[in-house]
Amino acid sequence: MIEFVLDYMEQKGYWADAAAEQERLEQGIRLWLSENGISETATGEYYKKYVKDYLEMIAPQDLKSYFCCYPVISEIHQIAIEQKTDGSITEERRRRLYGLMKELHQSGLGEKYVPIQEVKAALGGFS
Amino acid sequence: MMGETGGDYDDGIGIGAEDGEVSETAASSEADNIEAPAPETLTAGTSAEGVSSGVSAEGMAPGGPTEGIALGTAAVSGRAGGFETAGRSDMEFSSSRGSEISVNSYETNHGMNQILETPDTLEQAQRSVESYHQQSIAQILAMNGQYMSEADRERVARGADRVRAIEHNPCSRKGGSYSFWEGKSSIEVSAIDQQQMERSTKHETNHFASKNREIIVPQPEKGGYTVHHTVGTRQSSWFHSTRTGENFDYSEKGRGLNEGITTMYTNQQLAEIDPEKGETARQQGIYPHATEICAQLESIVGQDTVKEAYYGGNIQELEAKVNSLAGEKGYESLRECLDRTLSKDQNERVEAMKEAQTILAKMYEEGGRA
Repeated sequence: MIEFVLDYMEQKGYWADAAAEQERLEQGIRLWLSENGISETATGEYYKKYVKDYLEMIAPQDLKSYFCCYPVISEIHQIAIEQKTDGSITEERRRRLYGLMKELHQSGLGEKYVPIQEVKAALGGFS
Repeated sequence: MMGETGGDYDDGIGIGAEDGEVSETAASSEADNIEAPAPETLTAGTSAEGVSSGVSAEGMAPGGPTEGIALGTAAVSGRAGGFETAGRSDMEFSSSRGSEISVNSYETNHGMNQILETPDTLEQAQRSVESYHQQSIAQILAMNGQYMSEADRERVARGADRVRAIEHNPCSRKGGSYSFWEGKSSIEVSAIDQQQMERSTKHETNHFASKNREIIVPQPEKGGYTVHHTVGTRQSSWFHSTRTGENFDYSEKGRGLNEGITTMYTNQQLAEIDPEKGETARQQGIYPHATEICAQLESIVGQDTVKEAYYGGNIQELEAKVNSLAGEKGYESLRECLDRTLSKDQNERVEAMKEAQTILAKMYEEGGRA
């Protein structure tokens, strides 16, 4: 399924420029598939459809950054869910979230693929 | 106690404390002035009056666990009331009228993007929320009115009994909330920025427009009654003791499915207004995987089946269709998986997604390709 995602990216005109980038991409795709409950070895038509439908949500020009940064996006989601579930997060988690958001802004993705409402709620009192 | 077991949900829903807040409002009760008939509030085995007087005598915490609002532990004297009709210009604010919102853009210093278009006053936020609510009602009725009963179309057209913009508390999980209790509907939306208020109001308005149903089963031998509560595809029940005012044995199912469907329809409706708005909302969802699962479910069983369940209350047909493709108890399993996709535990979410995907893959292979 990792190949399927990479092929999709290539069809859109985006691929890794170096081996290190390829590794980051694959690492991000692997985590993304896992969080979507899809095995790397899945081949069924349904899984392909799911993956394709989901990928269409990501702007083609963001695909590379999205998967390279997916571990960051994933962690931001986790902290946002903690914020939503518990109503607050610890100062340590807040600082971590701040750092992660900074990283995403530096990558050019900004707040495009994160639950910004919960992120704002979590960071609103940050000082 | 329900206040302990009832989950939060939605765009961040408060538990317990919110009941107290509402009840203070209710103290001045305008209940007698409410013109809108209660949407499908059924009382089994006795007259509604009998149950009402029991509630009134013992005190019932308003703001039932609909859409994540679990009942608080504190019983409230007097009956819940004070709901106002959507569309009226004199709606209440959660705090004093004209008070300024405490969260301003300069107070929020995360990342590199600090532009929060926070409205200056709650009056402005209130106007925005009312406007979004009315706009959403028109849109939902136009797109989905055919799936509702005539009585529900009338209920939805009247708007929620109460729609309020509330001061945003940065430490709160609330973005918006919807409660349906004793036949009265209430929407609260945090005054954050226009984009969030629009999304949250649309989201909560979909909860309001989905099938809302309360069934009360008196159990005088146990000193109380059981409430069976439905909003969309979420079903909950609990026992209320009229002796102590406390609630016990809270259970719920279908929260994940309901949340996923609500988010999916909210995003679709935003996209109808402006494709970019819909796309952004989809990208910024907190549970994007669970929402995508609902989208796949709809593509397999068909849009009509899901909308008839969500807006029309015909969950049996959805259940039958899922079971026919996924096997016996397939619906129950899928619903349970989707509940777990809202977990705070990442491993639990991943496991739930795996199970849900397996069910959907089987349904797809069985020929369920709408």
